[in-house]
Amino acid sequence: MSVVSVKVSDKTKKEMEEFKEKIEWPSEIRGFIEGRLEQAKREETVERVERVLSGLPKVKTGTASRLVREDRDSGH
Amino acid sequence: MTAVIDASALVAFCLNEEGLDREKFKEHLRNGVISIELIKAESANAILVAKRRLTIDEKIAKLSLGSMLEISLTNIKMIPQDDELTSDAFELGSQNNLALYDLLYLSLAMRINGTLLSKDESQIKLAKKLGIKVEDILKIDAVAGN
Repeated sequence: MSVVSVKVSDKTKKEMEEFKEKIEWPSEIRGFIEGRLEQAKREETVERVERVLSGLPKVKTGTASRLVREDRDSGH
Repeated sequence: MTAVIDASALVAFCLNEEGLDREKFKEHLRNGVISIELIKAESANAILVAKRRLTIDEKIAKLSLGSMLEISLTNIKMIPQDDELTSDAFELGSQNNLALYDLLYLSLAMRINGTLLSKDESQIKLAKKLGIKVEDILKIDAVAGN
């Protein structure tokens, strides 16, 4: 594990101390950082994929569901 | 509420299908959606068949497949298709004619109390009957039939 330091105001630090029994700061902060990274990765993937896909010629409405339906009804 | 994504919706996005509200769909992808591993095989097969029927050419098929796999890796949380999910889907099958594959997605939505992202009318109809909220991913003009 690596250590990440974050500066907070004296007031925040004091309040964190007050709530340390109720809030497990290390796991909460780890969870937030990991969640935010996952969110950023999802956003980046959507942007990258959309740049590719939006340039493709469109297929007609219903194409996807028809292809999937045929496969399912044939028992895969 | 987390959305469960069906292969029909993912393929529609990756084939750049008309009538799909891509902005709404992308918002779901940004938030993260849930599915089962089956979605990758079903989606890949649909893209393959589209290529075989010359609906799309080889280059487009590869771009669609690559995008689908990338989304599956980053934006879709895959839930293990365990025995309970299969049994639940099997039970649902006694009340309708849909394939077990359709029902696995619906069982997952029921299990997590999630919504459904699908382009398949039969699946959507059953989802509504089962009380599963279905996300609206159709463009307004497509709904109006224009």
